[in-house]
This record gives sequence, structure tokens and C-alpha cells, in this order.
Amino acid sequence: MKYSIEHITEYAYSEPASLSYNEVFLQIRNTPVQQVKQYAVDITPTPLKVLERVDFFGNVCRTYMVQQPHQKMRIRSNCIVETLKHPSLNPGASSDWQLTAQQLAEPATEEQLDASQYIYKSPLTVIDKEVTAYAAPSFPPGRPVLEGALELMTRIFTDFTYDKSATTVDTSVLQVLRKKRGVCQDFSHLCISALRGLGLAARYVSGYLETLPPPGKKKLVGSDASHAWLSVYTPEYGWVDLDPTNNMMPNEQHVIIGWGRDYGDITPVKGVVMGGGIHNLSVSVDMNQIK
Amino acid sequence: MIHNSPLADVSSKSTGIFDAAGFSQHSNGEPYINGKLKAEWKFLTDYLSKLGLDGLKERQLRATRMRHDDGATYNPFDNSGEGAGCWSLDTLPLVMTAKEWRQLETGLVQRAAILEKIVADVYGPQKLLKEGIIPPELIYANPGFQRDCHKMEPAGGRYLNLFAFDLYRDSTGKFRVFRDHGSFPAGLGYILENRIITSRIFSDLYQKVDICRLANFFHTVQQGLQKNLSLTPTDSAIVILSPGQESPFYFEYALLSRYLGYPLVESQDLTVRDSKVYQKKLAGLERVEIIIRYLHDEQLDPFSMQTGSNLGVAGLFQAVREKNIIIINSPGSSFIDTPALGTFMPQICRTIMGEDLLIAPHPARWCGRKEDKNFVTAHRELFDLTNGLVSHHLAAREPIDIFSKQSHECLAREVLDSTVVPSLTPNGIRPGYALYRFFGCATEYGFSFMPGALVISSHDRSTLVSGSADNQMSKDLWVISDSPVEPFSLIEGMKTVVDIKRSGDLASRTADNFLWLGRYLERAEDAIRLIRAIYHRLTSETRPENSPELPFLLNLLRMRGMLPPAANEDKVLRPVSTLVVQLNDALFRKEFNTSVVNTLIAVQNSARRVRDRLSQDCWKSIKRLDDFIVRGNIDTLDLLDQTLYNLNSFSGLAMESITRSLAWRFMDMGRRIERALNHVELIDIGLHRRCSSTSNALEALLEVADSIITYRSRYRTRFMIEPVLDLLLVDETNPKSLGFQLAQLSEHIEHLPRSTDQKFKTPEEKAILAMLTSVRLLDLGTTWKEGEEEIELEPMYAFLDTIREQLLDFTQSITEHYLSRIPATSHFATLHNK
Repeated sequence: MKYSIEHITEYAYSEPASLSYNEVFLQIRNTPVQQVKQYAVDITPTPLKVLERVDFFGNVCRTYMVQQPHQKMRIRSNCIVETLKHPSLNPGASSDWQLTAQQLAEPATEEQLDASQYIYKSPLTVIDKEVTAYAAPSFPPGRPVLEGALELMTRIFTDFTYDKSATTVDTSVLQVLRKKRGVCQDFSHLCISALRGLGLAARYVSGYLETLPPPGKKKLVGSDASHAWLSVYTPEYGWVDLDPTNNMMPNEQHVIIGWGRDYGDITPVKGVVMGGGIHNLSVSVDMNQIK
Repeated sequence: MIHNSPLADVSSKSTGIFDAAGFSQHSNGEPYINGKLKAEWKFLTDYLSKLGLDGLKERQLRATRMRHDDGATYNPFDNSGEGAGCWSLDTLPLVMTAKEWRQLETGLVQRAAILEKIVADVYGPQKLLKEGIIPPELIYANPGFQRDCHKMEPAGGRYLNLFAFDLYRDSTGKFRVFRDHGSFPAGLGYILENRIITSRIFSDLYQKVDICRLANFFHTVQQGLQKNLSLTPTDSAIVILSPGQESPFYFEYALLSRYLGYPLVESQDLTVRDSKVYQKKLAGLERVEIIIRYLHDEQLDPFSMQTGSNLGVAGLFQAVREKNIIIINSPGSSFIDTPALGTFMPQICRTIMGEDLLIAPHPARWCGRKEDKNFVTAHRELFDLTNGLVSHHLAAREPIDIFSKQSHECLAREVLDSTVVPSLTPNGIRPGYALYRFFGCATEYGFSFMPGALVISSHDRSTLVSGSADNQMSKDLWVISDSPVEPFSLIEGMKTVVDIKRSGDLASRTADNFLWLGRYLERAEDAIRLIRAIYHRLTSETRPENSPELPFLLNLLRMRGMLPPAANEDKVLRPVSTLVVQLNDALFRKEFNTSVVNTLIAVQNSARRVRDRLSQDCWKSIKRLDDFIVRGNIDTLDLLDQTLYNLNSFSGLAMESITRSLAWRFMDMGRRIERALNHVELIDIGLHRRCSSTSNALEALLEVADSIITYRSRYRTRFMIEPVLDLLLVDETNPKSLGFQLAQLSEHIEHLPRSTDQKFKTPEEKAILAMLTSVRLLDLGTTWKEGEEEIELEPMYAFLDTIREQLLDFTQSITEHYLSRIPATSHFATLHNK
């Protein structure tokens, strides 16, 4: 599948902001299942310099400063990306989850060592009895790790209601678990916390998902959105993506921006503004198949 | 050589002051080893025996007073101003031979070298992790491991520039390392202060014995920093970044700033442009090249760390990555504070240095290893459990339950097996426990350590290990040189450096604080004068009803929100008892924002923020305002008089010590702005009253405006509105007039730094010119018709309203131009959709 993605983030300030400093994680990574054909980011007002660096997790991060007074700031990220069908996996053939956890606790290979960084709690995820207890029924002794993870994903999808108004950036995993409501980011953090509580490695994935209009209707401009899901580590298949919000294993319609321990490591756009009064944020994403 | 100075020698004398506590039984402590006095202590015990306990106590008192005067004991959190403060000084020093010091120093240097290599490795190639020398938990599960510092190489190549290690003597007398301080050398100011004091109160001894001086170390630090500067460094090239005056250690930062001659700044003083760091000053931005930070890693860049702390400078890390700033110590270096790291040090040392670790770590077991966890579980009583990953400044003080945590978070420390040291208590000399904080710095040739230590002491071991600085004591450590020491005075350094660094420019924040200091001073003075005038009238022979200006005075208080509104103006005086209660509230009620006590607290707070700019005497008169704030059993009128006196003496002293400097200009501008605003209000109310009530109102107005004598001497006539207004508004020779305040403001504005030579360009220049002109052109002859009976006051009210608004605009323009008080906010794009 080949997509053209346009992601526009726009801030409007009630008063002129004298200075703003920003960090954006918007550049799509190359992975075995996706190839970036074109990428460009365009910022207005045009900053003096945009600095690019590769972060601890291998994601591309851009930082820039707007130093003149401005009442509006727009970041337009454009890309053309080709996604491939993910190889089909046999969940039943993945290793025993306890064995997997064991390997991660005492990593023997470079791959295991690298995966092991995702078994610990992080600023926005927890290791907590209540969360682990929620995961436990899906992980009886000896169960293949991917089978358990898929079941956990389905349970989150069934037990939880998608509700934009239920949570904010500050809502904790425990609150989400108790309320049984949230958005993609919350479900991902919950699922990650649950897996880490069992000693498994899980990481947070930021990206896009193509949405299709209801049959017979035309797709609305800007109706797509940035999305989040997670990856779980299995010794056989490496990192396997899971989307608890949609109860599916991501495939060609999912485009990955990058990953980290949680949302905080790969926040798409964040910044500090001097002045500016009240901020008004609008985000629009358009993701279209191209031939 | 075993020095033969047995205990009996000392205890046989009645003045022997070590005998009471049974020091001899503590065979391996200080000053006795195996029941015998250590040779290096002889000169000191002899001296102390001669001095006697009372003599020693007297010196201790002097030391306490000196520390209090220097502000070291001042605790900003404690509004009463008499808090215990950090690391109060126990004057009785500890001693060490030069030989032992040299041996110890070799070990300290080795440790510094290893730790620097560890920092470089964990934020770089991570070989120690990949080769299994450091377990993954210590990095991946460690909140002190800053992923933002990945691949961040410091300009100048040094990760650790100025740091400290805490050591103790174990029961065999050998030093062991208890913990490390990688972010910044906490306590460096206190060791300086302690040495200044001990060298002064024991000056007779200090001159005679060759005690290694500390000044060389500071000199080395300065030289080390200097070589990293550009060819034309600004005054702000090296700054000390403090968390602000609310910090309990603020004294230390101010002292170091004065001593080293580097300006003391706070986060909001700095800004990043084009990945370079600048200090905001009145005349513009000044380049900063080195920051000695007293902020923790996670507070440095609010942007990178996601902690929601309002400290830090946005974009600082980017400036580090671009090698445009040196941060001391490099961000992320508190990784070396990781408590569990200590247990791996012997092996890390062998791996990266190819040699054995010279100073052993405190014995501890990290529970992330199964064998260790099992051992600890089986021998629980031998250990203190602490968080092994979270460094001490973040760690909660409560004990850790090993079973409720993930075991890799647990560090089981053996109980601290430290030897005793003599500590001076009100009951004489008693055994105490001590941690020795040694300070190190990077030089061109490697690491160098200060021959001395901040000895942190306590009467019990647990306070020593986990107590906070305000319930610990501190001592000085004297390293006795075996060769004559260079006479290098700490105080000398202090004198010379300060003067060089006082330039004509001023940090915006400092100017801002001076402006507010001026406003609060004026506000407090004015309110006290007003209330005092009311009190005088209430307590005088005349019945309050017959005092025409009393309702006027009360109205003024009411306008300022200091008294509740009155239903009927004529009834306010009855009953007087109610009024007295209300006045009392206006003075002392802390719940009322506008009360005098709160204004005085605001005066103190603003003064504290610029304390490094105030002389000792200035500061004392500010501190004396405590009398009002605490309010003993003093008669109210006396208290008001005394407080006015204190405020005046501050103004007088400030005038002398900061005369005509930019700081003084800002303080005086604050005063003038406040006075002008008050004056406008006064006239406004006075004129209204004149319409509604008695003919004495003009007299009252002059009285309150403190201009009655001037009026009488100048006009020798009855009170007429035209000359009264002329005197109060237009007459620039009357220091109480509005015109005078505006003329002063105009003069100040002319002397502020400006980017262009053109006059009347800035909004504040335009505003002051407009006000001054309208006052000068005010035609009192035609503003109203002749004949007192039918005066048209409306144009006058409109004039006063305009002036009031212009004054507020003027203040706003000053703030916008010179003082950056714009709040910073952070924003995050969120995921709202599926």
C-alpha cells in the first residue's frame, strides 16, 4: 500500500507569543514493513534553524525555536510511505510467556538486552498489582506469549469504552483501569503496563491509521488522526504490534512514526511558549492511498 | 612514631574536656585510637585543655552569632526568621595528617576518574552494559538515567567538573565511600563559611599550625573554568544557577557567587537563542558560556524532562548538544549517585582502570541479584533497606519494604559502622558520628581535591544517613600540612573578586525585585503613617468627632481595602472600640492581603531576593521588621514608630550603599510610582470630601499630604483650593507633589540603558513625558470658575483619572521593556482521535 500523509498541527495564541521552543517527533521511521519514499516538514513562521537528531530509541527528533513574536504556529508534516503486508504469525507457536520473561530478566543476547529496556515501569506506565491482576487470566502458566497478549488486547477492547472525554494527558493507568474508559493512548499504556507487570517487554508506538468512510460516503478531509498502539516482544517473531483500540494486529493500514517507553518519549509535538495567553490547538491528518 | 600523650595527661587536669564522655573506650575513633590520643590531635587537645570547656563554649557562641550574621542560619521557609538553618556549625574541628590525606586523595582521584568514565560510557557506547559489568536494571530502570542525554558530549570534554563524595571511617579507621554527588558540589559554600569562621575564632591556633588552606582549591576551580572561556568573555560568562531564594541552601549559592565572583542567577534570568545561552539584562542579552548549576538533572530543561517543574531553561539541552554551553556538571551526571552503583565499583574499576579500587564502598548488597536477595531475606536484621536506583535527593525518606517493591529497586546497606568523633554539645563534648564530604574538581592534569572536608555530623547514625541538613551539624576538617603553608586567605579572595564584577548593567530579575522593593517600602510606610495618624487622633484630647480629617483618613484606608466599607460615613466613629479592632486587623491580620503585616513580609521577601546586593546593615534593618511581624507585647503606637524608623533607616542605608546605581534607580522608581498613585487617590478623595462636607477638608488634605507646613510658610493665607492644588500637584519644588514624583521618574528613565540614542522613543518615555507635560500645563486658574462656592471639579477628576491610567500604563511599559515577567507555558499536542 502506498500512502500520502499530511499531518498539520496548528497553534493559535490569544496574545502574541514572544518566543517558542518546540520539539517534534513526526518523521516516519523505516522498518521492515514500511519504506518512506518522501518526507518534508514545513514550519511557519519559518524558524532560523531546525535541528535534527536521532534520539535514544532511534527516532528522528526535530527541535526549533520561533524567536519573533507570533500569534500562530503551524507545523506541516508531509510524507509518502509504502507499507507492506506484515508476515503472518502463528501465535500458538510463540514461546512460553514465563520463559520469555525469564530471558528478558537475564538477557543473554544483544537482542534480548535491547528488548529488556521495555520491561520496567516508565513515567507514564506503572507496575502495579491491580493492573497485573487484570492481565493474569490471559497468562496461565505455559501459555504462548503472543496468544496471551492477543487475548489481553481483545479483553481491553471488550471491557473498555472508547471515550474522548474520559481522560486527559494526565490520567493515570490506574484511573483508566478503574473507569474502563479512555482513548488509544490510554489503552496502549494500560496494555503496556499489564504486560510489563508480568515481566514482558512492551513498547509504545506512535503512528497513523487509515480510516475508511462508511460505505457510499465520501471521506472527509482531515478525518484521519494520529494514532497509538503497542508492540510486544516475542523471541520468535521479535516485536509484534497490537492495536487494542481496534482489537487488531496492525497491518498495511498502520503507519509507524516511532516508538518509546510511553507517550512521553515520542510526543508528536511539544513546546514551551513565552507569553501567548490562551492556546488553541488544532490537529488534522489526511491519509490517502495513492497509486 | 607513637605519640605518647595518654588520656591521663589530659583527664588529670580539671580542664580536661574529653574525659567526661568516656572517649577512651571508643578505641578507633577521634581523637583516641586504641585508647591513645592520635599524635596529630595533640596540639588541639592541648589547646582545648587550656581553653577549657567554658572557653570553647564561648567561642561556639561567637561562631553561632557570626554564622547568623552571615545569614547561614537563616531559613527562608521560616517566616519568623529564626530557623535553625542547614548544617549548623560545631566549631570543634577534626584533624588529619598530610600523610593520610595524600593517601586518601589518591583514592579519591581514582574514584573521580572511574565515575567520569562511567558517565561517558552510559551516555555513549554503553560498553559496561553490553559486557555485563553493569546490570541492565541500573540503566534501564533507573530514573536517574537521562535518555535525553544520550550521545550528549560536553564541550570541553569533561562530564564531572565540580563534585563531592561522602565518606566515613569504619571501625578499623579506614575510609569508605558512602555516596556520591554527581550533579553539583552540595555544601561547597558551607565548607567555605565554616573555614572562615573556625579560622577566625581559633585565629591564635590557626596562625601557628600549618593547616592546609582551602583557597587554593577555589583558585584551581576558577582557573579550570577560565581556560574554557572565549577570548572576550562577558560579565555573565560564568554564572551560578540556583533554584531560587526559597531554597534552604540559598545562603550557600549567594556565598559562592560572592566568593568566586560569578553572578548568581535563577532559571528565568537565562534564555536560549539560536542554541546559545544568554542572561537577560537591562541593556540586553549577555552571552553565558559556563553554568555552575545547583539544579538537579531533571530540573535543568523543563522541556526535555517532562517533570512539570517550573525551574530550568527551555532549550538548554539543545545548547549543550551544540556545544555552546558547558554545564557543571554535565546533564545526566547524577547517574553516578545511583546508590546501587557502589556495589559494582570494585569490578568496574578493574575493568576500566585495570587496577584495584583504592577506597572500598560501604558494604551493601543489591537485591536485583538473586543470591544477594536471598541472603538479605535470611539476614534481614543486618541491613538497612533503601532504594538502590533513585538517588538520595529524590528518594522518599520512608523505609522500603523489600517485598512490596521490585527487588532490583532495593539496596540492602549494612548498618553504618562508623567510628565516633567528638562533638560539642551544650553538655560538653560527647561522641557523635560523622560523614566526610570531600570536594573535587577537574583540572588540566586530572582531578584535584580540596584538602579538607565538610564534616556532616550527628548524634546518631540514622540522622547522619537519612536526616536533612537542618537537623545535622557540620564541622571543619583540618589537614595538618607537613610543610609550611602559603598564607592564602579566603577573605582576601572575597574582597578582590566582588569589586571587579560590579558592572553598570543589572540582571532584569534583580531590577524587577528592586522596583517591587521600592513599591512595597512606600506602600508600607504610607499605610503605617496613615494608621499612626488615625491612632493619634483617636487617643488625643480632642473627641474624634471634632477631628475633621479623621473620616478622611479612614476613607483613604477604606479605598485601599484595608478597612471594611462603612454604611454611613458619619457613623463610623461610633463605637470607637469597633474601629480599633478594625485598625488592628488592618495592621496585623495575615488573612487580609492588604494588611500592613503582609506588605512588610512582601518587603522582606523582595529584599531577600536581592540580598546579595544589600549591605549587611541594610539587611539587618530589613530583618528587624520581624518585630512587627512577630509582634510581641509592644504598644501599637511604639511599634508603628519603631517600624517606620526601621524602614527609614533601610532607605537611608540603601541610599548610601547602592546610590545612583541602576538598582537604586529601580527601587526609587518603584517608590515614586507608588507615591504618585497614592497621591492621586488622596487628592481625589480629598476633593470629593470637600464637596460633601466641612470647610476643614482642605486643611485635612494638606495635613495628610504632609504639606501643611510648606503651605503655611509659602502662602500665609487661609486654605484656598487653587494654591492647595498647585502645591500638591504642580509645584515641583515640593517633594510631596505629584509633579515632583513625575520629574524624578523622568530623570530615572533618562538614565536607564537604552538601545538607541534617540529620546522619547520608548512607550515609557512617551508616557512620562505626557504626564509631566499635562501636570506642568495644568491651568488651575481656568480649570474652574472663580468664587469658591461653585467650583467645577469635574475637569479635575477627569485629569486625576487620566493620570492614574497613564501611571499604570507607564508601569506596564517599564515591565515590558526592562523586566521580563512573561509567564512561560508548555503545550503538548494530544491524541484525541482513534
